[in-house]
Amino acid sequence: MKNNRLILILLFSLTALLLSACTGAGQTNSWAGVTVADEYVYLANGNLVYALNGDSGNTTWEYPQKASAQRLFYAEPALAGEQLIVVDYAHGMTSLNAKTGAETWSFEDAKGRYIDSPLVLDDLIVAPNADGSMYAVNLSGNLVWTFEAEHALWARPVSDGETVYFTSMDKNLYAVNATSGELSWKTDLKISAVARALLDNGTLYVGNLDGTLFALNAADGSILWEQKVGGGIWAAPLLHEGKLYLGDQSGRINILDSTDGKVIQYIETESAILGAGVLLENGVAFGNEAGELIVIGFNGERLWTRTFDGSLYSNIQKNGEDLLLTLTQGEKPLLAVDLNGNEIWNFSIKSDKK
Amino acid sequence: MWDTIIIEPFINLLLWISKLVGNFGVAIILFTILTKIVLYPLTAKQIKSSTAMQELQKDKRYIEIQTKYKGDKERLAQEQMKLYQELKINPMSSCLPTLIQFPIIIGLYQALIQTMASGPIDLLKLSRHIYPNFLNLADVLPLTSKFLWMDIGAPERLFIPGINFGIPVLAIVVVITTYISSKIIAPPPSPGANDQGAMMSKMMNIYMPFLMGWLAWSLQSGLALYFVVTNLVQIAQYAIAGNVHWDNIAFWKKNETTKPSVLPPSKRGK
Repeated sequence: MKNNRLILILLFSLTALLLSACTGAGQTNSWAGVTVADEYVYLANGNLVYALNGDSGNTTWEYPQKASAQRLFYAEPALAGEQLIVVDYAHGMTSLNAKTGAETWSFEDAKGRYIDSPLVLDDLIVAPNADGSMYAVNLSGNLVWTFEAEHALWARPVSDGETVYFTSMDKNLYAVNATSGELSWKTDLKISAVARALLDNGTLYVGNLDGTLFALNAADGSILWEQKVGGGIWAAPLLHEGKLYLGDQSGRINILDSTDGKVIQYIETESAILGAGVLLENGVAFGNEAGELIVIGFNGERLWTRTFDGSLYSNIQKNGEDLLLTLTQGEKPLLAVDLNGNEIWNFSIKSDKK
Repeated sequence: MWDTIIIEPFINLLLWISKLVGNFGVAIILFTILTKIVLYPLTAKQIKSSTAMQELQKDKRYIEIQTKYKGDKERLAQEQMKLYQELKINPMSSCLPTLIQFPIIIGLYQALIQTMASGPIDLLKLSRHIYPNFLNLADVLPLTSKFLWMDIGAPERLFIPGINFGIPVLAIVVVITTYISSKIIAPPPSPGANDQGAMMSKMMNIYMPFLMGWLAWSLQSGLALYFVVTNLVQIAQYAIAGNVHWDNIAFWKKNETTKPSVLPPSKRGK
């Protein structure tokens, strides 16, 4: 009888373990975010945020001291003066001393996950949350205003200083007064949107998950033009001399005329492009799911491609003259490469560097 | 392979039902009922096997074996096995529907996580799992995860004013319904107190509700909802087949139901 009971308990424990393993508990469901500021590189990667030396990749500090499986950091940390604002999946927004990683304050009013990073506007931090609210707090972490959308907010807003613009899963692009949080206008983007918008000279460029890129008048939200591309749009386009450069989920890099949205050219790559590219002196660089870093000239000619271990989902960042690549499910989560794609340094979790 | 056979059909079916009824919680309930209907042939087999076991316990030879080898567990087991073989009864066949449910539970959990798309990678996967000729991502997004007081994509807790912690109502309901469903569908106690099968069954009835309750407490409430509906449908299916034993949960009748096993079959209650 005792043996039977023991066997049964062991069997149940094994079943529970199997269920937990098979159901994928603990699997990552986002990609790391990286921010460059002064001599630091800040990396939000799972249950830790790292401050790394920008020249060497050495760890200066990490936060929190005691990592938690629930408190996951994926959004790019945002710098507000000497504060580093980090947001997490356990509905927390925390201010850290950017140099030491010491916690200054935390804001816990949100009910959902922070998927993307907050926007810092002088003395205001505007943070989108998956609970459908945009939270604006001051530099002491006190709530200034809240704006409630109809569904989750996954993208960092853009702003001209007076209005903040942001997409929502509820299919709308919102324009909200930066001081009061009151709605100025909203425009139906037809399909849910998770991409950040690009604001340039009074025009907003923003894409939805169905692969339609819109140009809107920032003053009233009226649609100037719309253009369908090969696949869903997950990031803001890049703008250079009247041309928009935009990756999509089908793996294309699209070059569009910013005045009318006409597709000038597109370049096929091997897999989905979700992150924003980066403007270089001689062209643009995009990363894709297959781990390819593709650099094309401004006229669409392919300059070079390098393949790395992992998926390049995240936005590519510039670190001085170099590029920072965040690799999901790769051996090295963060890689600094030169403009020819050669590795300068890397940061890996196990060895804590190089 | 797993994605193609299990996850993708589940996701598409769930999304399709959700699109029809406009609520993801209701979609899970309907989906569960549908899977129970599809799996009914297995349940019917389980009921048949359970009935055969009950009949066996009234069999003269079975009672004789229990009495004769009361003190010799090994021999008793051998004789019982012989009798099972002779009467072509598989005492383990009642476990089959439960075992088959495990891949469904795992698949449902993965489908739920990906359908709720609470993070970018889940959303990316979801967009790839949708059958383009069957559903359009644009039509199903955004999914509303609210059902009654719960968020389908998160573990369920009911917050009551004045109480500074959330009550896991659904997990408690899972424990209770799992216990009730396993007790009332179980055959009456075996005449032999040393019947190992009965012992195992008794222990299963104790541990299984807690295992399911723990899963319901720690995983998404959509899965807990699946457990509750599964239990209720199971009770209904057994009741329709006339095979429920309410006496098993009637504690006040405990003494009556555990009378000595040597009573002649004609005097034993069902």
